[in-house]
Amino acid sequence: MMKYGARKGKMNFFRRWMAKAASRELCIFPVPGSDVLRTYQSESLSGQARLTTNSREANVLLVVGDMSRAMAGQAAIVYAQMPRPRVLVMAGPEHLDPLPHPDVHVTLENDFLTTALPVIREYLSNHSWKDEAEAWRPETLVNKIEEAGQQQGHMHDHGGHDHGHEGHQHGGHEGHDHSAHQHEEHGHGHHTEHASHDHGHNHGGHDHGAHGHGGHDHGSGFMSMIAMTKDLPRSADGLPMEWSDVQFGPFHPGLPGGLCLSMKLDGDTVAEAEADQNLTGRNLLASIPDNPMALPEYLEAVNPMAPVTYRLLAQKALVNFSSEAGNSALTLPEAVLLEKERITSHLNWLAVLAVVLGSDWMRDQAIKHYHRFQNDTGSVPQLSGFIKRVKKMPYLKLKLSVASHGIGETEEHNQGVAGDTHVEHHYEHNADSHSDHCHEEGDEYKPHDHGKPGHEGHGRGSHGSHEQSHEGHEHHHEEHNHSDHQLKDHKQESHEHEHADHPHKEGDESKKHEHHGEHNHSHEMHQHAGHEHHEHVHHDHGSGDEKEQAIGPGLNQLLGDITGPVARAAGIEKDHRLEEAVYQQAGWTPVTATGNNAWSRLMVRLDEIEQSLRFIEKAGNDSGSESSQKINIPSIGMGNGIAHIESPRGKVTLKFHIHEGKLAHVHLASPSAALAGLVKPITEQQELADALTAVTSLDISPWEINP
Amino acid sequence: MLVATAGLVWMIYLIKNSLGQTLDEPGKDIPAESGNLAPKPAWLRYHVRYYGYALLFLAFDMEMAYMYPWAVVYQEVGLLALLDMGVFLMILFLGLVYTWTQGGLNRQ
Repeated sequence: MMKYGARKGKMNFFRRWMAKAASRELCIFPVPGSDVLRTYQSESLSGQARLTTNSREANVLLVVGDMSRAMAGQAAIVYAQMPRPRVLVMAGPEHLDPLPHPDVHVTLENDFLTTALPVIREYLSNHSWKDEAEAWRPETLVNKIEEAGQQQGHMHDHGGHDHGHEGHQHGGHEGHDHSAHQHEEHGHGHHTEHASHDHGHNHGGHDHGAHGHGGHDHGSGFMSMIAMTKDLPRSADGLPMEWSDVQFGPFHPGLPGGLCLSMKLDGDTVAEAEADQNLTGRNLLASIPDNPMALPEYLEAVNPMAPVTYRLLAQKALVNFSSEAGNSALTLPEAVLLEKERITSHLNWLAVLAVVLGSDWMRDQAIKHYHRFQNDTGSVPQLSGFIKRVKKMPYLKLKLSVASHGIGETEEHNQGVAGDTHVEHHYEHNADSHSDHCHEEGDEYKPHDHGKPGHEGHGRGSHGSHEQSHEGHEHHHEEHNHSDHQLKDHKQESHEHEHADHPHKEGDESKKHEHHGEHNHSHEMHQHAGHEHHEHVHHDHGSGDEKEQAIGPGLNQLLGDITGPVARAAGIEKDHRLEEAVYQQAGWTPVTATGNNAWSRLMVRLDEIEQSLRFIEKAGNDSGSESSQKINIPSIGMGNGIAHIESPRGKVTLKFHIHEGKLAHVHLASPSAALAGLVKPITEQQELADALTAVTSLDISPWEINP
Repeated sequence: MLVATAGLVWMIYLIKNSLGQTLDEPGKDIPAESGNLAPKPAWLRYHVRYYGYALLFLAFDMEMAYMYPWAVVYQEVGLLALLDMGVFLMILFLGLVYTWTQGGLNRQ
């Protein structure tokens, strides 16, 4: 009992008094992060305990849910750094190696802290001092520390060796003006071969051979800056500087909990960065349940950040497998459920972004509204008021749009479009014309055939056509949306009202003009709301260059796999909800923007929150519930199931194969894997603060990344 | 004073002793960042990217140097000098705002 958490000694009056005082001031370090903890809390912890981001001031390490061994190792480092008395609390797993056995174990369920907090207090009051307390020296941690020590030692030795060597080799080069050799463009590690090789350098007629490399006094190279820095990496400006390796995450407060960024910093500029994709990723195949009916619960637990989406996804795929028609379309109550999760997910993300921006007000407000909407007690006017205030926060737009690069953009271009972030709303989507691109019921992927081997191939074929038609559809929207419309004076709110009040039909041009005149909108913008199919087809191939100019060179390549708000903030109208009949009937169209930077991602998500609120309001009494469709998995059946859902982060696709009534193969395509691939291009040569903001703006869920 | 100091030292020693024996743990002797041990020494050649700041400093510092002769004659000239300097400072301030909006204060 608190063997590794208590201070060594007997409990006496003074210590008991100290322990009681400590138990009143609970300071919790949540692992993997406060955003994950929030998903299990229906209200904030105000007054009962304090969340901290610093292991040195925490007295409770709270592990929320199961995690990979790698991440448990990181949690062990945090635990080792915490001062005693400390309590290890695990919600969910009973033990995670290399962490010690938990002092307090609770079931992972909603509001588990309500039951856990009194137990933690009691532990701290009664067990803060123990005679049996021991030092915690787990083998893995000791090894890591030794490795770290060896690295340090190696670096010092290597540096010393290098310097001496450099002096020896480069004594003869001192007289040259190396700055004129354009060294940043060449490999500096090859200087020792100058005498015998032509490197293609612009050496301007220097006769290297004549300098007599061998005949110089080698001592003259001592402390030569050129020699000392020859092997150092070059900054973008050509200066030789040392780069530092730093890790942000997996427990960084300004990043999604569990996300780990490995960065090479050149001063305060990011030279290289990548997201660690093996930290939280679970081996889906290794732990997948055999029973298909257990899949919804299993997937719900896989991603704590979007449990409703993942559960529904599995249910829809099972329906697609089991029903004759293969129809796995969303019902209105399910869509309402998804939109509710979208609101809370975006608010949870906003709270994390507020931390990285340093705005306590924004963080507290986002958390407050998050909890309210999680409990279905949220106030729509209050949330709208909060969103308006965020949009008007001074300096925020400048910070997020000018300082932050868009994906695949050059700096010049980015600055050019920085102030031109336009968020588009299209609430009255023309369902008739849109249905031209959409899948009909009969086209639904229906590859299974119970007990009939060989049908699988057919199924795959139909799936291929499904994807093709889908992509074509997306492309139309993309082209139409962003190459044709030059929005300059767009005002979001007035636009919303207009579209909500006046459903457009083709041929309703005069009405449209009238309204757009009033609200200062462009004519092109309005036409877009109608989604005229002929125009889509017309612009399909003709306006690619314009689009490229509008949203940045190389964007297509980088954004090819991206869906969700990040793609929509780059002007790409990818949204699986466009395929769902329930959204089409509601006249729903996605929110897009053309800024392609952190600001436009924020705007898109804020507008999506408001859009979801309106969708829920429109749905009226359908307060959100799951489908009661019968799912029948025959014990000898085989075949495939597939489902797509637009999660808060983008399109998620689940495919599985069932053999003899058991799950044989599961493939989950989630948006975060592609988003993680954007970390490198989006952070390159950015200031550290801007790079972190840009990464947070992507809203990567590390729980979706499967190694 | 000496007694008070000695008393304080004794009190601190007493409190330290009353908290019990400290246990030597390896995890507490090494810096960590976000759940990772920091293996590298922080002693390195750090690129501060000062050029932009240096240029800005030079521009504004040289212009501000004009304030010294202005301060000498300020009492003689009176309000007119204040207005003149106000206009001068306003131009400087607008220049700074423009630089800021153009990303000049970023280190890139």
